Amino acid sequence: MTVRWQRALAMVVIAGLIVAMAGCVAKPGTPATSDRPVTGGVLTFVQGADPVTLDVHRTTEFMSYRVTSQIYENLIMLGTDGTPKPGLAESWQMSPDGLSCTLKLRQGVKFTDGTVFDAAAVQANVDRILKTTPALPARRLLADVKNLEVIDAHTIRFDLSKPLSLFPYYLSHPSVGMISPRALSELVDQLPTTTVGTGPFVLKEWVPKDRVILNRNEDYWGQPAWVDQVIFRPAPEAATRTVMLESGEADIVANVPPAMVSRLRANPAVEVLVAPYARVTFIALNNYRGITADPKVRQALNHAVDKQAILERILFGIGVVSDAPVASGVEGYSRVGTYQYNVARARQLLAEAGVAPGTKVTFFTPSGRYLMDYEIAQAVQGYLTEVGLDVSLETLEWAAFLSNVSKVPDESIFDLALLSFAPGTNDPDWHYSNMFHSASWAPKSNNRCFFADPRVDELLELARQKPSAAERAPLYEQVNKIVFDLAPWIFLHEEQQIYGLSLRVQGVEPAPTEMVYLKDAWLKVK
Amino acid sequence: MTAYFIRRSATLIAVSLTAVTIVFLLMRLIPGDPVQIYLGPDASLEEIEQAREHLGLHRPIYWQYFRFMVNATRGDLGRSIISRRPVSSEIARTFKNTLVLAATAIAVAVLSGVVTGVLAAVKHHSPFDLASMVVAVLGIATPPFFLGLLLMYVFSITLRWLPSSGTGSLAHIVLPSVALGTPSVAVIARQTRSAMLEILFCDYVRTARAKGLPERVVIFKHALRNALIPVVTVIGLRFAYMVAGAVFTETVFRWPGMGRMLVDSVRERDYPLVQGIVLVAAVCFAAINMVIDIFYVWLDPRIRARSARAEG
Repeated sequence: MTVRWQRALAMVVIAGLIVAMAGCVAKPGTPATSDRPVTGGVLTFVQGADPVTLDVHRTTEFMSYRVTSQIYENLIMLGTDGTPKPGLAESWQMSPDGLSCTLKLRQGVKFTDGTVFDAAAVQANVDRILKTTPALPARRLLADVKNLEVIDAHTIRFDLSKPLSLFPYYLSHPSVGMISPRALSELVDQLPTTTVGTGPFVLKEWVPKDRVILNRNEDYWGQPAWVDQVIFRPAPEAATRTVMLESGEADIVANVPPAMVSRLRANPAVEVLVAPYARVTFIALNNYRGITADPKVRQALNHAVDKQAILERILFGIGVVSDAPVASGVEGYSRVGTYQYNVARARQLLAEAGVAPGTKVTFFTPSGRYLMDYEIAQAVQGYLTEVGLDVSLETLEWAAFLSNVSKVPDESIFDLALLSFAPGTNDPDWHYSNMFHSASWAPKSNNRCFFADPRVDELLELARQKPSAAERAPLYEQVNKIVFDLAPWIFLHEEQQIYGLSLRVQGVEPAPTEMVYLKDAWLKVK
Repeated sequence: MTAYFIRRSATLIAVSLTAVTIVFLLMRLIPGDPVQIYLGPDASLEEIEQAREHLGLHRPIYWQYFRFMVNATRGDLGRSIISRRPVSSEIARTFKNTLVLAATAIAVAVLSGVVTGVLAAVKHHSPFDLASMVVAVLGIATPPFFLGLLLMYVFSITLRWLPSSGTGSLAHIVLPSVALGTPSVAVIARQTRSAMLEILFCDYVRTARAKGLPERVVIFKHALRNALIPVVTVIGLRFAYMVAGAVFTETVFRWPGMGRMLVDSVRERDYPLVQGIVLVAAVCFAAINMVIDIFYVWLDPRIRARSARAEG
């Protein structure tokens, strides 16, 4: 071996040693700091995508909301416990018949362009949301608003066209944030990239697909944000997000895949935050036609699938097996139970329903849309094959999948479809009415399994009229039981949100709608 | 030469038009509705129909095609359905980034590829030749995606020398350009080596050596220039691929380029954006090929003579 080659070999060995040593650097000592929040610092938040638009009334997905909800505020805000809390309205009162909601507005609040926040400002926002054509996405939230009555400069009343006692939740949806009325009249075409809100942060710069920089709003009406600056960066690839966290380039990364959790937990420089989430994942069974139109078959399919095993092996145990048709953090949840994994029982029920072994069923799944969607679908396919069905699994990318599960009942082409749903405001009516009311059948709305039961429709409408959660609870409890028995879905699990945090980040508590309000976040100084 | 140039330009236009037309039709044939994607699964049917009408998507396909073509000739590629920003400004922003990355990556690849290839050929059958060719095969076989993550783990997490991803400084371009360039280093090195080997045994090289020219001059002036013709082809093609779609590299390294935007826009069925990007990519691809062909003529006097004869 020549000298040159020896030297090269030595270099390789040294390089290897450096890598190995850097890998086992001692855990940094716990920083000697108090638990009192401190002002200052730049917080970098990395999530899967860039905002689509900053015009809050036009946004439709949570990655935009995560940015806009730092800039814009709502009349009512969703607390991290998932219930409505005062926002720009100090208090509110739902009428006993569920037909109107009176709100007392906070005084002394100004938009960042100096405009005063008052009843007229609310009026301007509501007018825009209700009157713009084509319809703004935010109109979904105010679809039942018949009229907005301005009682005085700081008192308003929403009159509704039908009873909706859960209306306060709707006002907390990120897309009905309050924009400065002056901006609405003068800058409306620039709102996708310009923002004028009342929130704890103001937009400094947005370089599309690269970064959104927000600065602290120094004139904020409440306790100002602790950090000087927040930078949102998009990283579509989950592995890139975890690298950014581990290399110190990110303080918070969202949507950590379950498979990477153990790796991050082993790294002493970062921590993993698992938070409750209002999302349930399930297999929608076609209740309208085919063998799954028979409730007995649907129950059989529920018995055929080992949900616990799917949760443990595919989601690495992060999540909860569903024991109700709604996530446990949503109002209306009551424990009903789970269908035991029992192959013999499943076969027996299928035989009783007259389903011959080898019966063909079509199963649609998206790939890469929901957490581990394709992997879960493959497991379910395996379980159903076990009880004698011939399952053809059709994997589609999201756009194609969505158009396939948005057909009218008579043209529906699926027997099973993997879906996942989270009510955008964490309110029970959004969940139940979308999922189980017969008026919500696809393509009109989200009841894609074509479930229909007159008792459920009636209970849901009754619940909309009850002004308090306590009065609604027994009604939803009955809904849960009926839905569980009729098994419109194969109930799988409720997800949990997974974030990776650097050790210096404090005060981060995500809401069950995936919102992370960074007003209360602060950074420890070492 | 002028006739040749005109002929090539006509081909360029025809290729680009065909590509855009195919994409236009394909996007509308596959299932999926941009409005449904944009408005999300919670959108009502009424909302979707209003938006379709507003965007002109309810019109017949031939009408949409005609309008797109007429506007495109005026330089108006429309607006993105999702972001509502003009397609031309979206492309301008991302194309610049893609070009910077591709140019850096190809520079890395050409420099190290040609040097490695020449050395391997000159010292062929030596341990260096063997080692460089093993590395070359590995380089071709390693997906940029995987290589990218590997580089990030070593240089960003472990050594903390370089930023893992994103843009902003010169340091940001190092990892993505290495990840994107490596497979090309390998291809170029192998191509250079075999072309050089062929030429190093030619009579005129022996003559050059025999008349006492220094080895350096023999290799770089006589051999390399002739060996470069097939190499230039490879370089051009690799560069064209990098410009048209460094999707994986751009995704892993959060590089705000055109490849990533193309994939996103196909997923979202953002028709105008897809059409715009494909148009630009097709023009670039065809233009780069044209430049290579012209470069041959410059590089090889025999081609020049032949085309002169054909014209005369």
